[in-house]
Amino acid sequence: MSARESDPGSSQGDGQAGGQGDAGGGGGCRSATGRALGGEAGRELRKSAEGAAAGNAQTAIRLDVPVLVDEHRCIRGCHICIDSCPVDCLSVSPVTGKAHMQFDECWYCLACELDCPKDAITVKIPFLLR
Amino acid sequence: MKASADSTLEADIVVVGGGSAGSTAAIRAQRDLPLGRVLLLEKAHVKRSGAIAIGMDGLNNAVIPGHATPEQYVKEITMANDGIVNQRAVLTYAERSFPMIEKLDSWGVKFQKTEAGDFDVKRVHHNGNYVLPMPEGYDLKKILTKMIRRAGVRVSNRLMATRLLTAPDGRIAGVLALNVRDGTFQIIRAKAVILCCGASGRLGLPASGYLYGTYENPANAGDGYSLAYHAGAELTGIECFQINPLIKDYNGPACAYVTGPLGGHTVNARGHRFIESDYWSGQMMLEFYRELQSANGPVYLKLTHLAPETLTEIERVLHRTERPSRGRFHAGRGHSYGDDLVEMHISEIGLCSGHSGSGVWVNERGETTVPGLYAAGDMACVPHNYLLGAMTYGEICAENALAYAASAEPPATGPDLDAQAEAERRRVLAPLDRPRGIPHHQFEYKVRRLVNDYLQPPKSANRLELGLAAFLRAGEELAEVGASNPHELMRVVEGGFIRDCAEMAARASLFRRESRWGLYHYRLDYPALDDDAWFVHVNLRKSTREGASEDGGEMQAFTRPVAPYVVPVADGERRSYYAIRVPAGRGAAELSS
Repeated sequence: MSARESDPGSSQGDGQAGGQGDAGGGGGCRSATGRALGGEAGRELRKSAEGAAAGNAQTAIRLDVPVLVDEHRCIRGCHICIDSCPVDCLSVSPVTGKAHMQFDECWYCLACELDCPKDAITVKIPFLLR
Repeated sequence: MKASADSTLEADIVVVGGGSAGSTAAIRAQRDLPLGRVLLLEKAHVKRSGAIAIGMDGLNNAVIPGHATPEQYVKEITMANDGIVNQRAVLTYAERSFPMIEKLDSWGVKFQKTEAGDFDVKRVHHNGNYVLPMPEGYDLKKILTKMIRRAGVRVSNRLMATRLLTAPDGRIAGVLALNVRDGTFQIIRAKAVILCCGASGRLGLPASGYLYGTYENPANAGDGYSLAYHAGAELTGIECFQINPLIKDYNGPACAYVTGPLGGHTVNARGHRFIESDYWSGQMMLEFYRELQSANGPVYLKLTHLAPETLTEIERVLHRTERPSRGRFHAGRGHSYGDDLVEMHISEIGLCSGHSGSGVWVNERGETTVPGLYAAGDMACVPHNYLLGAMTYGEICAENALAYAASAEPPATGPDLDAQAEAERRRVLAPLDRPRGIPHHQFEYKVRRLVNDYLQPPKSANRLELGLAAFLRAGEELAEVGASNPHELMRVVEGGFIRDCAEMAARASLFRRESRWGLYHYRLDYPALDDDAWFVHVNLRKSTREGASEDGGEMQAFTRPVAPYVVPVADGERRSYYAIRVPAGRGAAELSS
């Protein structure tokens, strides 16, 4: 099986690299401190404070995910595998209406595969372990 | 997504966690109360939750008349836990072990029996016979779920407790919880709460680096340890870590309980046995660790000498019940039990009373030190309690919680409790205001990598102190972690549980200045066992005073005496678990350390 694009967060992600976030923390005093100290040491302090206050960019990374769903077999409206997952890493794909692995958190316990009434799921051992 | 408005539920008894302990607790409590008055909260779904989400292939600690007596068992566990046990709690389990087996038998759980119809008990421990195989144990979780439904227990799935509510007088008043699907925050008022949240299994990082490749079900993130701690309950033996011998790179246990009775055993790279008993004690893990680190390492599970029909039987059990993906793992590597030795390694560290002795302090009634708060299963400290202990103590907790709730006043209410709930609602939902904050998985990876760096035995004060500083800093970093949906919110809250457990593990390990329980608490700077100074429990609790510890933390460590034994153990017997290394000259190499 080939790797596919994983989508943890992609439905929320806006793909803007380097966007200004609202993570907060030390915003007001950072540049003042930097200027007051001046020189190289001040620059490091300022950079450090700016780094801490900056927002985090969403990045898309491709992952080999363990849970594969055969969309031809999977039944629309069925939630059995999604209920079974002890780490809640499955959900209904907003694109296909079928089950998919939304979060890269599989324990490879096979609950979803064993409980699926249509034999639509195959769980691979995660790549890092196999 | 912004969370919707709070809602409030009410019950006499709330059981937190629907695994093995929680299931039997809820079923037992419901028997004596009107429908709806027992509420079972489960962060996953009861049909596949807890340590045995799939099933279990045997009972490790069955005390069955004709095979073992409760007194023998208490002695065995006292020795296995280096003497630091509340024997009364272990004895209460042992006396109720067989009635619980009979109940499970009547529920349809299939135990291995001899042709004569007797329970087919196997020997794995050093001295007694306590292992009862369940070759069809893949049904166990389904049977428990069926009995929950039959009892009429009210179940709320995907509801994760984040803190407990306590009344001004210190007694328990309810549970605060997050719905991990829709992000709503729930207040649940209750007279009594039974915590059955499982082990702290997401503490150490597996050597693979994969966050969810843990021995324990990753849903068991130490929730119960943290919930109990913040409610003011004492915890004990936290320095006695859980470390298990596992297949390398795969989270399946290997030897003792399934393959041992059928002739499998561990060997070193020279093919020689080096331990007499594969029972999972700290001393066994120390010998295992030393062999791994020596020129004779690594360590393997040897099954190649067994008959093909025995291998088929082993595969039938090992590849179907506890870890059904295990066959897939071996097949992927092109290995088979008949042709290849199975490379083994030691697991990441965790906290767990089921396997070792680290948990919330409970007595033989399942009571914690907080009135109205009970705990059972892997998170409650009755050492080496395992699956049957979880189910037995689930019932014990339910019986005592019922008695408490019958005489207790209605759940406390008032402005103080409203303020607690509101503060918690803000704490839990705050990461939604930082959708671009630090991702939860990066926070968790870092904390758990530092757990490996600084807490993994062998331990030393220098490293433990660095670890403690790192975990205190992680408390500040947690305020930068963000979430953009309820699922991520759950992970952030779990990150807090994991951090709490890491701090507890560092503090308790620093406090006990001796070595005990083999590898579980092996201190390089205090390598000897010191009964004169340390034949005591080390407990932790949240200090009620500001600035109780020098470093500004609020976690306090102190000792509790070991209660007088009810089953005497002779001095000569106390150390029998130390004599497990196969003597040199019988095929084993000399120890290098």
